[in-house]
Amino acid sequence: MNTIVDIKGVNKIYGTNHVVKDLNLLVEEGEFLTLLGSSGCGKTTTLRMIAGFEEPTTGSITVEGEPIEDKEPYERNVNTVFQSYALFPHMTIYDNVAYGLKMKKVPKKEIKERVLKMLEMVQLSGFEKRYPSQLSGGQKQRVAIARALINRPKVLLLDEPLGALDLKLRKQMQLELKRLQKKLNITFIYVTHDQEEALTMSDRIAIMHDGVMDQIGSPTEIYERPATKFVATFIGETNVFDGTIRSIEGGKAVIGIENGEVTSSGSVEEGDGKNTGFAVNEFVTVSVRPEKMHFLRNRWRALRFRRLSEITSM
Amino acid sequence: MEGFTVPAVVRDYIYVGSVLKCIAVLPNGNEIKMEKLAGEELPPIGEKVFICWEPEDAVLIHSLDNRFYQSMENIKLA
Repeated sequence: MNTIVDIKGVNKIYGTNHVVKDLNLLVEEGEFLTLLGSSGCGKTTTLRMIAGFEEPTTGSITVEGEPIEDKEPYERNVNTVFQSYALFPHMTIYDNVAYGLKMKKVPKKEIKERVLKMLEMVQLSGFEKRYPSQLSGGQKQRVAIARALINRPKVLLLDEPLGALDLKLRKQMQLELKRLQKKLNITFIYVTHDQEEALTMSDRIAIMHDGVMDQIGSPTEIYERPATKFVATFIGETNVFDGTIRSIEGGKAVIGIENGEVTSSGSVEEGDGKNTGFAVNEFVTVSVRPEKMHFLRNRWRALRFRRLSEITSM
Repeated sequence: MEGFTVPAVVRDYIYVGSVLKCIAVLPNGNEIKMEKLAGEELPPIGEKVFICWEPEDAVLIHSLDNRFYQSMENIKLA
């Protein structure tokens, strides 16, 4: 795969507020990448910098290898879909979708062909003469997506596009968006604070926290191997035990927790605990997902397991 | 030894459709969250149980991340 968006050392500072901190991110052509994080983490600011609505304070952004800092938003080969749809209320659905092509002075015949094809793709054939006020929220969002895609952008930026929809419609639209993205093979960069949405749709997820990208990886990697305590607790639920590493040997670490010891296996690498691997005496967190925990009602079966009853006395 | 077990008391079940979320309480008062398939035979609320997990399901995470070390560096520089 080729890199289509390259973000290098980007910082965004508003006054004393450091919103995006030294962000480095490579987005591959044709992938569905989600920027996930809670409100104020810098994800929308990052998207707006790619779109051209904000300028990085420092750092660079390239699309298809070309720097875009000096290009106006409409000159960049990207398009944006907003949560608020941003449709022209006085225009029909046809005219809304055709708007970008008319601005580019595309021949009328070609505009008609492309608009009808795009409306068919978002399952809105027959809605050409209606106005936005005559559509439901989900239909309006489909028009917004059609309008963004008709210009054939290399990258589509989506800023919480399903946030205003009810849960059932949102889940339906998630699948439709994913289908559309695969069919058109356009790179999607999607911003959401909804972790379930991110897991459902993304090829990769970049988790942002307090302006920093904590981890980037496939949904499985993010869920199964969270890199930070924030990622572990933000994506799904988990049980955490804080403790100190007592020893590391053969890829296994023994961690002392409250009056007990647990082992974490699965290629624990010994290092300095900062830049590489884990270190003996390092403060760590052990995360165990709820579905990995089981009941043992028979006391004799519990003997197979090392008891942590020392944690407490019942 | 194949894994780890802690004694706990089942406090509550929350029905969320295909799964049941279970909350069990450790003797020190900390809560453990579990997820079980609906229809699975489960101990009743209030029962003393053992909760177990396998070592490979325990993921190790740095407690102090790069932000901490960065801020320490900044303090040193200042």
